[in-house]
Amino acid sequence: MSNRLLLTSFFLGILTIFVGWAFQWTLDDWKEVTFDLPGEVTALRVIKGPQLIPTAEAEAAQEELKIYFQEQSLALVVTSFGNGRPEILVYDPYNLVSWFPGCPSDGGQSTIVYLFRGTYSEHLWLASVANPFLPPGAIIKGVIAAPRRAGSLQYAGCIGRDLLPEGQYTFNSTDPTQVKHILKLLHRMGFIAQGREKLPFFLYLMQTPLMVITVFFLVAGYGCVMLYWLLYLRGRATEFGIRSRHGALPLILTREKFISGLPALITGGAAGGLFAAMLVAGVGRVHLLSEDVFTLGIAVVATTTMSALTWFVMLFIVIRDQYEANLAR
Amino acid sequence: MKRTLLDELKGGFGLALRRWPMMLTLAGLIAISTVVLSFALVDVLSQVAVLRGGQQLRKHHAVFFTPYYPLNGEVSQVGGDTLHYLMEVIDQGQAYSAIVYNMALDNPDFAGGYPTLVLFGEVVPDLFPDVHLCAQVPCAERGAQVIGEGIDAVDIAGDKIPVEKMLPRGATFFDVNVAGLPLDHRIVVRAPTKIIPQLAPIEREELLTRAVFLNPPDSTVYRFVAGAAQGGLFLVPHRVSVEQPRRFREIMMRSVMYIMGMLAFLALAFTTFLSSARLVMQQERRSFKIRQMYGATPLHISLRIGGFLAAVVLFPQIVLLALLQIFLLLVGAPAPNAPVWVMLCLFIVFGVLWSSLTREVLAKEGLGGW
Repeated sequence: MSNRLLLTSFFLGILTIFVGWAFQWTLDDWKEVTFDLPGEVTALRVIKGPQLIPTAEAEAAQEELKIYFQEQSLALVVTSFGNGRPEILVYDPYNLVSWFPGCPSDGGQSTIVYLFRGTYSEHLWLASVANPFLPPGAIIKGVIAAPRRAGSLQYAGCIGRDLLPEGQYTFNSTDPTQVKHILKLLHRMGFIAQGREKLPFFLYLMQTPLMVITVFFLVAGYGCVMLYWLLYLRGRATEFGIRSRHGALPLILTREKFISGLPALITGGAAGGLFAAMLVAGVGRVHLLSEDVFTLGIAVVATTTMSALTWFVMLFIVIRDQYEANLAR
Repeated sequence: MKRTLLDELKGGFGLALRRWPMMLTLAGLIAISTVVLSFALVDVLSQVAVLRGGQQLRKHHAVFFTPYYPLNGEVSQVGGDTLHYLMEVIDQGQAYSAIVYNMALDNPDFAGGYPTLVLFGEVVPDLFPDVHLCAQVPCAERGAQVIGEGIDAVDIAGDKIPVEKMLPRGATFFDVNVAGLPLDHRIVVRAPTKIIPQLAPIEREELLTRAVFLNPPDSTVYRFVAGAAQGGLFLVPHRVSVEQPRRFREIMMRSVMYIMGMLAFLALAFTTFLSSARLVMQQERRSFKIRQMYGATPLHISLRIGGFLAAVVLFPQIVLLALLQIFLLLVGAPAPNAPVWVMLCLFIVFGVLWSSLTREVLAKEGLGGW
């Protein structure tokens, strides 16, 4: 096995997995947090508006909102974005939210909560200590797994008669008529939705430093490797010359050298990817999730494919380029 | 003799010039790498500071908090007892805290208008020795880029704290939520805890949210969290050694990716050059032998090799880096000395390459040793 190929594809493996993860994280950041709601999802950042709404009127509008969600078979998830309690409030009359066990249908259920597994709140509950994050009079119904990207949110509760707070309002519809109606009701509750212009993904990608830097390293790394292999193969011109003079055709010679180099390329790429993955996971103290392993797999395949392709092209260029000259010697 | 030696150096340059397309590509590649490295060095160093800071907090089983502020943009009203409790824990050396953004918001002339970092806690210099903080509280230091008038002293809550010395260039403070906080343009104040009750509500709120407890018992964390929650400030605690919130984890993982990516790329760049240099030496072996037959000593041959290496891996890059250094000094960049460090690295790499290649050539061709 060629140590040169092994070493170069090892470094390329490292650089490729970094690009893969940078891409995955950038995509995650760009995508809305949907809290695992089914179908197309709208996420509105809702804050208190300038309009002065009497409490009774806001309560009436909130009841209308709930009725509308029920009529349209929609689910609503309200989450804090750094203000209010660290909670998720759910209105899900048709059990569309897979991770949420549901609420009793008697109406006054605003104080029923489910703690998220692994949180500080669960720790307090297991130690039978009062939880300072819960609203007064809240009843803990049990512990559930948190939805993806719930961050440091502690529990999920049912939307009841208490007025909803400002936060991110997420629901499973992108129908303009429904969204417009919901916005109108939110306005009557005293809220306004903050406009957020979403950048196209490509532009967002270009503006993410980690993505730009890792791609730069990878591209420049491939440049180096191409040059390195070109020089290395030109250094073996004598060997190729002898083979050519003994009847080896360029394509056969290329194929032979290509196949003999493959084990080193595959091993190096996989080792590099694995090393980088273990290092990053070790520093971040995380277990690699299935999506990380998937990215790792893709990166290893991409490294192997790209480096094998580069190796093949370099071999062919050098061998073909010097073929006639070698025969003439 | 002198002239002959100089001729050898020139000959080495000629060796590179004769292969100009390849050598120019390589020289360009290495030049780009060194320039990128110069620009990125400051970032890389701050990423190293992030990693070291995170490591320190892990070692001390630190607990820090994710804040959830009161609704409608109101400032929390956390009671005096919680504040005093925090002061007590800080004074016992079991916690520290900081105000990064909200200090003296209503006073634009505060600290000469420069942004500040106000630190509370005797443990801070021991936790982050790389920052070289002043030892005796109260004291203040200015970042390397803070120049001008009005910064002889900082007035906090009626206490005049003299700005004593300057922080080293590129100093970075590790904050769990901000990650690497560059200090070159900040004034760093180490303030006594006794001034905490006199701070403005928004300053107190930030102080509470940035509190970091070191190896605290559960009861300490609970008392603090429960007290803050009563004032409308919900602080979700995280034990760094057990679980890490997404943001903190990503900061650490990104830093590793940045540093490792840079190292992997540089390893590839220099491997390429070494391979190229070896090839050239191989092509020149006959010429070396002939030169030896006509009286060239190992010193002459080594100078020729050195000239060749300098033409590709040293001379163009040094010129470029020197220009970059002048440019960075002229524009007052945060770390104008980064190119100097890269130049130093280049000299070392050049030295290693020169000695190894010379030894290789002399041994292979049987031209004798030193």
